[in-house]
Amino acid sequence: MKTDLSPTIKTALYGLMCVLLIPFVFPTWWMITSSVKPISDIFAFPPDLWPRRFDFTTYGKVFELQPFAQQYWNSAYIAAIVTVGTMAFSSMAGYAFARIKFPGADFLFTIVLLGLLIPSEVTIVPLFQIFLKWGMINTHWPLILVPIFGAPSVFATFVMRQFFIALPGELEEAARVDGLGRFKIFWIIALPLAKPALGAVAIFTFLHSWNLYLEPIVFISAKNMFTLPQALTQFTDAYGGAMWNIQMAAATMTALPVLLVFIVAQKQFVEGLAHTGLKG
Amino acid sequence: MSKLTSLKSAAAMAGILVPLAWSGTTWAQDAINLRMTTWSANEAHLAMLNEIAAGFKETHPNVTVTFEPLPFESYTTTLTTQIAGGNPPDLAWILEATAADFVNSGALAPLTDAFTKTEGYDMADVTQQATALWTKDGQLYAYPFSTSPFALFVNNDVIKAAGAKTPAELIAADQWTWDNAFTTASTVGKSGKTGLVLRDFKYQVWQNMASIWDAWGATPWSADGKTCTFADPAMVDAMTAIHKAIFTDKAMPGPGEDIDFFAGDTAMTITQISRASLLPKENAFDWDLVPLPKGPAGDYAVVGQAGVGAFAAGKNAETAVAFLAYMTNPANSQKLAQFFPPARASLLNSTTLAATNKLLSADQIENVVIKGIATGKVLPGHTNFAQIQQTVRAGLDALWVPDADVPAVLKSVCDSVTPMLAM
Amino acid sequence: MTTPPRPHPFWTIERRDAVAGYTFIAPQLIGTIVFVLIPLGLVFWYSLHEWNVLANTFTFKGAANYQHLLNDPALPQVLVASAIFSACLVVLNMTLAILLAVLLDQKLRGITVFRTLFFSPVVVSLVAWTIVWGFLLQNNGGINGFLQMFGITGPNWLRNSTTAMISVVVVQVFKNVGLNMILFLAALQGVPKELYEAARVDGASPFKQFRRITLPMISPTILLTSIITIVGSLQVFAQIAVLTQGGPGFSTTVLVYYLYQQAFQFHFFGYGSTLSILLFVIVAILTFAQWQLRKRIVFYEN
Repeated sequence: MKTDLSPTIKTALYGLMCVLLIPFVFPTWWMITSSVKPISDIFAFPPDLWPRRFDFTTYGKVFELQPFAQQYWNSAYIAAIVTVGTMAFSSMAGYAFARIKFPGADFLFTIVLLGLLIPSEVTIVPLFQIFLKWGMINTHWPLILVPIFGAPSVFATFVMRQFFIALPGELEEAARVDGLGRFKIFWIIALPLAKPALGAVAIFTFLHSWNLYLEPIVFISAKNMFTLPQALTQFTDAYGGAMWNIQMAAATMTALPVLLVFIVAQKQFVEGLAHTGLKG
Repeated sequence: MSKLTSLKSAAAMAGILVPLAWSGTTWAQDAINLRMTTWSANEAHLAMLNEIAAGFKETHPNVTVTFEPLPFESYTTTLTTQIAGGNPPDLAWILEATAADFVNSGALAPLTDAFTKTEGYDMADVTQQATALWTKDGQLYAYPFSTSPFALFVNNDVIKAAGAKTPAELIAADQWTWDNAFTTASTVGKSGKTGLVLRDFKYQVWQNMASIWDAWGATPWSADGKTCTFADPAMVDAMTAIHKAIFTDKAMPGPGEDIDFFAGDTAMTITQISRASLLPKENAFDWDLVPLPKGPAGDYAVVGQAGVGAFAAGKNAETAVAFLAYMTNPANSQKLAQFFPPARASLLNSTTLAATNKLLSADQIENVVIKGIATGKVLPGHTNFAQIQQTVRAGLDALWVPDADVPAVLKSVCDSVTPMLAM
Repeated sequence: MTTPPRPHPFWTIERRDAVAGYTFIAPQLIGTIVFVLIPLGLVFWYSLHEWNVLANTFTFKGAANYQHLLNDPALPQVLVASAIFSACLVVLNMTLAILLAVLLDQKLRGITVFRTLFFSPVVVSLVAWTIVWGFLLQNNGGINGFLQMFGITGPNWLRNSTTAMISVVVVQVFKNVGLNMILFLAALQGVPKELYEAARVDGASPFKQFRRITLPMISPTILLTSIITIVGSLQVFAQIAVLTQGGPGFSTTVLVYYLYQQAFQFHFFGYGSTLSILLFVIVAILTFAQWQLRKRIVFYEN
């Protein structure tokens, strides 16, 4: 499939991609341009592709109205802990389910898989009761513990298991003959080979944590504890109406760094993932 | 049992009155933290609320009140989760649509006695019109801190350009009726601009149509809430007029056409007066604010409300009620009136309101705001309103097509909603 | 029974493996028990009660909520809407993801930019996304304006049962297809090039190559993504809530939106919990079925 293409085909492909891009890019474009429009221009109909007037004060106001830097930090550190924690525990569990024979493994895997099947709206009330009992309401603990250990991490465990199943076993067998323990095999041999799958897990987990909406709103009530998606809802005028331009400025600042990371990481990530292959 | 209850309420009363008398001596050790959930995260609102809380602390040094702004869209969800999870706030803003649910559930602490006994509160000053929605069996369960009249914002530039009569001209000629309002809107609509927008309706939030159908004297259900009146002649007439305005006369944008009046290409919009803040500051158009037109049932006014209540189950319920009494006393009501149209008769004068509504003329304040609050009927509400709202919304969807059979659709709405009204 | 002639070491390979296995899965397993199973059990417990949150009444009702489930007149429509929504969403999402992955797998200058742009909706704020699509899908909105240029009068997208369903599916697909696209892109790059070389020598057309080589080779990824997408599709409702509120009529009221309404808007927590259990059972059956199918569909599984 990958040969050098003729110029005609290349042009056609570029054309096709550009047309396909419109529905993907237009909302992003609207978000960014709206962030520098005066509020009365945002809902002009039809929407302006280029702002009629510019108002760059919105970006400053984001920081005036909310402790936005603090909230940015909250989101960033929570997402980082969740990502690292999920990578650690999911790769361990995934490895064990794929590679180690122990009684009840299949049954326990099915139990763990249940987590994949439950929408967060279903368990939010019991989780709230549990965290209330533990005195963790209005702390970041629910936003860290549930993603690392609960339903969201099951997807990661699933991916890791599928990856390890497909990984050739010769190296490990050789290591076992040499008398290496399970943990050392996992740490020294299996995990380095799993980098691409870990990359996929990292991106998915980070995005999931970064975009988490319902849980922060339910569990966190102090401004300086807010995460970004929650902070985005807080830019309202004196009558409860949304200050769209400021909200969009905050939304833009929330999205752009993640996109930048994606640009830098995507090549390595995609190719790394391809190298060993994510076999289902 | 009744003895016990009266003992309890006596104790509760003492709990409120004692700290007022000997502030901060015996209670100083027991630090009390009250939480109030709001759906406004606005800086100015929170600053004002915090100022009121600071004032309360002067007489109650052990009490700290924190305000927790929740996003408007998920307000009820979050509040419900907190209550279900066993961690309700001490005080909460309550949306008008859920008023009946909260008031009838027994979740809220009664306020009337505590308010009446609070020195200088002047309960009689709070208009009965405004408290009706929040009262059960003569007891007030939440205080309507915001009573905002619906009115018509007008863009005279657009109307004049289309060669139609402006509402001001019609009012001057004593011809300000829905017929003429629709005619003006229709002329504008046919000229390529937009005639009349019922803001936030979107063919989903049908209760906002009350700001039109009240002119016909129409109601969705009987006063006791038990009988569906959607299919009554008044409602059929009102809905026929609205349907004609939309589909025949192009006076109102059709379903799926969401247009913002404040962007400047629309003749008129019905919304609450607080939306004056959205009027554009640059490239402003010649705008006006007028009362709702007369209909077959004569003059009328409609208000939207928001209340604040204290949860009865909280262990600091008495203190929460005391704070509510303080927060809504005459002096603090005046502060609240900066942002939220007040329900106190003494504040309903052009001097007070002009100071806080700088955009409006004295005339507009007198004719729209004061008259609206004093005489306005509250938007429809009912116990279990959310479910009724959805059911009626789904039923009315059949109405929003050009060849709809209005009486038949309204009858089917009644058929599906009647079992819920009876519950 | 005679005693064995030589002492058997206690730490056999099997025993060591068992200990290692349990240790490795312990954090995940305990997490699942605490944050998934116990909450799920509580939800089941709630489903046996009539729970009015506001009135703070919690009355045991046995199977009454399940009886109500069977008699709920709205439920059949809701289940049909869910089935249509999920089926359309999965098919469209997978097709588009594979198509995009094939396109973005080409050796073209600036392909990184395109990959990033196609991926961008995944990180764009849901609020911005829904508002803009709400605009575009209006009767007088951008899409119909675009169609008008070709003399086509577009439908009133969000106000007609059929087009409203199409709209909510498409809006959801565009938002999230980037994730699947990336997984497929990786899968495509993992297909050994030699296979294509050989096929070309045999004179197979590009389409035939795609069917005979690419699809089987990426079938594991197809299984994985289809499970994630189906499960995900049954849990989507935020955009439906904003775009159509489940209408017109009940045409876009999917199960999770219905249960959300019952529990959080109507305050019928017991019945909402019952619907949660129903949703859980449906998702579990679907996942189990897909998992069983894997042996037939997937090209290689050990």
